[in-house]
Amino acid sequence: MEPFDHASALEGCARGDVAALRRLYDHEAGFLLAVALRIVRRRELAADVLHDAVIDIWERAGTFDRSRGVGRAWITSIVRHRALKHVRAAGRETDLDPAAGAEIADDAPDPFAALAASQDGVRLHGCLALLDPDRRRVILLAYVDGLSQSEIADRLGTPLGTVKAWVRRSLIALKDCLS
Amino acid sequence: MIPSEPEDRDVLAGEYVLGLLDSDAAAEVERALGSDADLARRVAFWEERLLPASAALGTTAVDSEQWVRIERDLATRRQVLGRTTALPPARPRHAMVSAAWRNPALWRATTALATAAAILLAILPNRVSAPAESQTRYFAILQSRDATGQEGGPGWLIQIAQNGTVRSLPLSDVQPGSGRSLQLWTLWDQARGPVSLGVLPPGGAIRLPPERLEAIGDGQLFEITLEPAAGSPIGRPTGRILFIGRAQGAATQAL
Repeated sequence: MEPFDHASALEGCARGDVAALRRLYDHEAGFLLAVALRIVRRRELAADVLHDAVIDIWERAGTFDRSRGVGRAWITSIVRHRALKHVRAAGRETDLDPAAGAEIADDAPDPFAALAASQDGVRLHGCLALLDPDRRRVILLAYVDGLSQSEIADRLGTPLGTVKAWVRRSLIALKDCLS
Repeated sequence: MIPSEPEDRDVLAGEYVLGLLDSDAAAEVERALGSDADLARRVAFWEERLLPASAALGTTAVDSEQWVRIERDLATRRQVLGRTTALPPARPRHAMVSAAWRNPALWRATTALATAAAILLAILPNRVSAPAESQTRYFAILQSRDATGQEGGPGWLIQIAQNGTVRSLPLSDVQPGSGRSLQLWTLWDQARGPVSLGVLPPGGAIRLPPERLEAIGDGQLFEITLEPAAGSPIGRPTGRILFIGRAQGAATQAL
């Protein structure tokens, strides 16, 4: 992938330059839609999330500070929060019902396996590999699939208190490894 | 409560980024981020280090209609907010002033008009949006604006005659580039948004018949944006603003 200057595009947005937003959109919409779709699981909803997130990016670009963060992480975070807001507000139980047919259930890639193959994912993959498989799954179910702690507890058949303890210990171990 | 121990702060930041906090706790973190730079750094750490797990998902095909929707929404928002409010609050003014100094005649004209407009606005504050049948003659000196949004001095003159004929005169040589055009817009009704007066011909000088201009009044916004060769496809400005300024009532003498 050719390098794209996210920070400059965001600074353009902050100045009211729609062309800068368009450049950012052309470069990242497909990725951001994939992030949203993985969490909300329905194309129509994911498109709504992407729409709202792009408007958010436009309106909040003035608060982005390149000295304090990476542009791509910043926009991804906006999309994830939008998507999470969507699923938490809607109450997702029905969407997670296999019979309700989550659109991506069948071909959803395993993020841990995909990380091993991706260029910039080697380090995260290595650190996640140090965690017990269940604890690794907890982190990825939360981050990639956007599941809440109680949804994770249901999914893994593990008590909620145990999930919470795993999250804490996994984060401390990851911080140490990724720093 | 936001903890003070580094390890607890890392865990809180991580749970926030993972999306595991309930809405009250997440809102508390968001409020704290504005003033707590250390917490903001810890949040950015997780956002950046976990990003490859998202990136590994690849991409999904985006419907081409999606951008059209976004653009429409942005146009509506800009109308509601008013175009000029989208600018950063601290716009460096020295660039405009120094450019104006290099153009003393324009500088004098701009200053005189600005002063006249200020007096007019002070006397007649309710006439900012004048009725369409106004008999007054107007000028708008549009300030050029570069790609960074900074104003670079007077760049375009719009003259509106007594009968509503609009003349557009560039004050400098402007080439939109191949496949692009310059499009002239005016805004008199925030609810309706910018209305196109047409794509400008090469060179930019044009004389528009009176019926083209539906309304004219003091303070009415004129702007020229960079658009596709055939003009904006959505009837709203899509490209960046190259020149922008407001109409001001002129003296009754001829130019």
